[in-house]
Amino acid sequence: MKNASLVVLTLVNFLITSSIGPIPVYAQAVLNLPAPGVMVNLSPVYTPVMIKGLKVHPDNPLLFDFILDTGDSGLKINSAEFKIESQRLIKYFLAALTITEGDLWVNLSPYEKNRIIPQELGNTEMGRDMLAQDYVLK
Amino acid sequence: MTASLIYPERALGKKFWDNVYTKARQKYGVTDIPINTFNKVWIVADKAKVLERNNTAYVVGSHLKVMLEEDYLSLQKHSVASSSSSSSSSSSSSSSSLTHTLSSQVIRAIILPALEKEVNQGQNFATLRQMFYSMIIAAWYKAALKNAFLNQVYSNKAKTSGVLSDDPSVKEKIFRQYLRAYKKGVFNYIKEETDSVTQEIVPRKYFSGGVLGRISNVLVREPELQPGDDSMKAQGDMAMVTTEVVSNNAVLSAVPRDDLVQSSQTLVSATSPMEAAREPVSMDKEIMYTEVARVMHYLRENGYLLPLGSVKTLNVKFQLLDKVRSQLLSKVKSQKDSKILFDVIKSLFKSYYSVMNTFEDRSDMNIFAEFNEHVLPALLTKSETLEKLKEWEMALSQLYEYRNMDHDHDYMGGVRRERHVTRHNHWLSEILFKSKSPKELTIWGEKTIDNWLDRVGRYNKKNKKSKRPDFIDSIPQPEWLSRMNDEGWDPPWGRYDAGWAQPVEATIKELFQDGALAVIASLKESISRNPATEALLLKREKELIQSIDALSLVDQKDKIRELINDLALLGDKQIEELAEEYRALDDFCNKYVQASDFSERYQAVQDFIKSFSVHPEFKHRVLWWILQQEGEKNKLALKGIPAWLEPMSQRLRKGKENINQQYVDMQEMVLTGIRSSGEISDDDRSRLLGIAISGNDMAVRRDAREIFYENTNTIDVSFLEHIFVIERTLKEFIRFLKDIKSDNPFVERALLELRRFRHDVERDIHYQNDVVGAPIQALSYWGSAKGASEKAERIGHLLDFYESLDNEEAKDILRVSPLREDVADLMARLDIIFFCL
Repeated sequence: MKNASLVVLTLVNFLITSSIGPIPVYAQAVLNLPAPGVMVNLSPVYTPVMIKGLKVHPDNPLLFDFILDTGDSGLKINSAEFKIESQRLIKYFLAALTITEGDLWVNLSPYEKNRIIPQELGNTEMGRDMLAQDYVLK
Repeated sequence: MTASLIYPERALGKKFWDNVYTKARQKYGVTDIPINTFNKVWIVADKAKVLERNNTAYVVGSHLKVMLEEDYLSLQKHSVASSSSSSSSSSSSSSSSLTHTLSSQVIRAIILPALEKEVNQGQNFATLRQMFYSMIIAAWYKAALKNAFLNQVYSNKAKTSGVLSDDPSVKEKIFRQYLRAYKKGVFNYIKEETDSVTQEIVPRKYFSGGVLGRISNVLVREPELQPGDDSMKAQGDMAMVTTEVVSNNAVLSAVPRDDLVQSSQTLVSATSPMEAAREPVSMDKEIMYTEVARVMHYLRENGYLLPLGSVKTLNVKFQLLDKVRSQLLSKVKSQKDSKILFDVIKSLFKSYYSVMNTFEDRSDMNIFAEFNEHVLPALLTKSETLEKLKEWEMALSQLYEYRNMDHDHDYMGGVRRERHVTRHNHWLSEILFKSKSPKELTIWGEKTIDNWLDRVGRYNKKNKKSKRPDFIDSIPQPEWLSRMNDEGWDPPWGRYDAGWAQPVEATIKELFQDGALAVIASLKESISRNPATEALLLKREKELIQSIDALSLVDQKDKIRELINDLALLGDKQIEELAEEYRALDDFCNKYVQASDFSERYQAVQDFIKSFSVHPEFKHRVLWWILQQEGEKNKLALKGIPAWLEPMSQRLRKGKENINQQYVDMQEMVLTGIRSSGEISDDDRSRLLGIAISGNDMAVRRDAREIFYENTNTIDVSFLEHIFVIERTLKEFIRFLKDIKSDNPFVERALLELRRFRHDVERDIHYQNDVVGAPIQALSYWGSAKGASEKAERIGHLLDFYESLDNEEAKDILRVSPLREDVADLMARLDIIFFCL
């Protein structure tokens, strides 16, 4: 009886998967990346929070005004979430500043495991996020 | 995503495969061919446009392009991707190249547009676009503000400690997950194919490639919004996030504190006109100066130890100094004659000081030290070519030589020191070798002394006999001295006179010690600025000074020879020449020792005097050594020579005492003449000063000072007071020099200079205490100026300048008596000292 139930369950499962194809499930692995074997669908148009501009202060070269657009995020500019998001973008800016342009690349390839990402970029948040985006690209 | 897009059960994937098979059928007549779907896809910056306005940059255009690697490489042959092309190309075997091209065409036509739209608009790549915008802003900052402080200390420096990822291993995790996905496959619809060549199972359903963040090649900076640019209107709310990148710790943690300080200091020199010429600065210089000033201000306020001037005037200072610097550099660049170059440098160094002296805020004159420490060395090291650098070094060497030349011109009773020493050497050798016996030697020496005393006495007697109402206008000393000089000999009243009254052994040892140091001094003057040479020289000098008392004379000589030989090994041409000369000295010593008779020894000495010159003073000392050797050979040593020297030294002392009284008499007569004349000329003031400072009798000095005060104007009195202050504090200055200790090579160099200076000053004091030479010397020092007013003016300017420095070092330098040095000489010395400090 028990074996019969298992057979039925397996059969139903097979029928479902074979009729609707791979299930687009975002299994949690690393950094919310799609799990291996999971399809990535086209996504709706979306504008994230972005640094749109920068104001420099000649009287204080260490002071910057970053002009941010909240886009479609719906974040309130006084919210803690927005603050966290803006700090992340500023860190992107600083990383892009301190790393030479020639080292701003990622390259996920099964044949080039030694050329995934430059060392300095690989240690940064931006490098991590670039790799994640490259993963999605594939 | 790319792999998902070609999933054949979906519309896009179905279209893709339909197209592939259609084209395959058209091309090959069949559809069951292996299709290579392993393609490298790159996301690259396609457009990055920035509007610049009022110190603000706005991103007004951006687009990411998705390309197959083969397309990307055709555009960017030199990019990073090119280095990976070998691996990618290996995946495309020749037999499958045609089918690969076929699939590429289809991918390019069907997949990439969809993918590109997703990358630029879709939620899946929102993070990528966030990074892209930040990269655009960063690229703009690097390009537009090349000289900005942050660009100097942070940009392209890979100082990532403030922006690190929380998990250092995340990149490996992502890669492992990617490999799992790769092995597992997003879908299993397309079977693994067998490579027609290798017969191996090859997964051919994945995309590789990556993301390239190179922005600068597409970055466009616009002052105005152009048609087609994105509007600056926001999609959502606009927010201004103000961040001080140091205080938020990102940069501060990335850039070590010391580096930050150092970078801010070098910022000034890093933006020298030479640098500016190489890299055009888009930012206005005034802004740059202000920026530097603000950075320095910030760092100072936050406890960084910056030896900088006040922020209030820093901007002005930079502009002024920049003008001087430009002037200096343009002149140096255009000038090939090293002597003229030297003059240019010297005069412009003075301009620096003049500029520094014009600042309103003198409360923090450390700017002076800063300038000398950073800007001038930067000027020297930032020469565009090695040749130019050599020219600079040559010019600096000449600056040193100029100073030393003045030393040689230091008056010795109106006789240049070098000539004096040379003649003294001849005089000694004449005494030594013309005397055939101890008796003759003594007679000859006594005769020489008598001759000199007679000449002085006769001359003075002759002048005393005259009424000399015009005595003031006809100072006798230079005249009779020059006459004596013209006759080819010098009075033995120089600094070595003490030797005559001292035991021979001690004298010779002292002379050799001085000689060793003199050789080193000579080396210093002649060596180029080879750091290795200098370092070795300094080390050896220390060793020699520490050990010299314990060494025998022969060992001292060996030490010097060893030093010179070592230095010669460093490849310094001048040192090699000097080493050659020293070997000649060595040869002489050997010849002398090995000579079989007196005539051979005499010939050796004559050759030595005529053909060899390490250093005049050293040569002089060598002759003393020969004297001792000769004395021993003639049984005069220890017994004969002191017996010979003592009566002569007694006669000399007696003679000096007599002469001293004669000078006192003369000086009193001068004072009487000045008092009776009623009106005091500039020359009178010179003489009064000379007597007031170094008259041969205290009463005479006091009288001269009183007359001077009674008959001079305020400026002159002020000047005299300066002189007296300088006199009193001279010894304090010397003590100050002894306290200077530092490992800084520049300070070490300065210390060497100051030691020489101190040595000279001490020698002058010694000489000035010599009752014979004091008034002559005092007057000689001032002989180069036309009158007291001019001298006062010259010294007054100098004193004002040093007073304006308003720091401890300047005060100490102020204490150095310009009376004891020619003004120009002092300026040259101080230039060097300040440069070294």
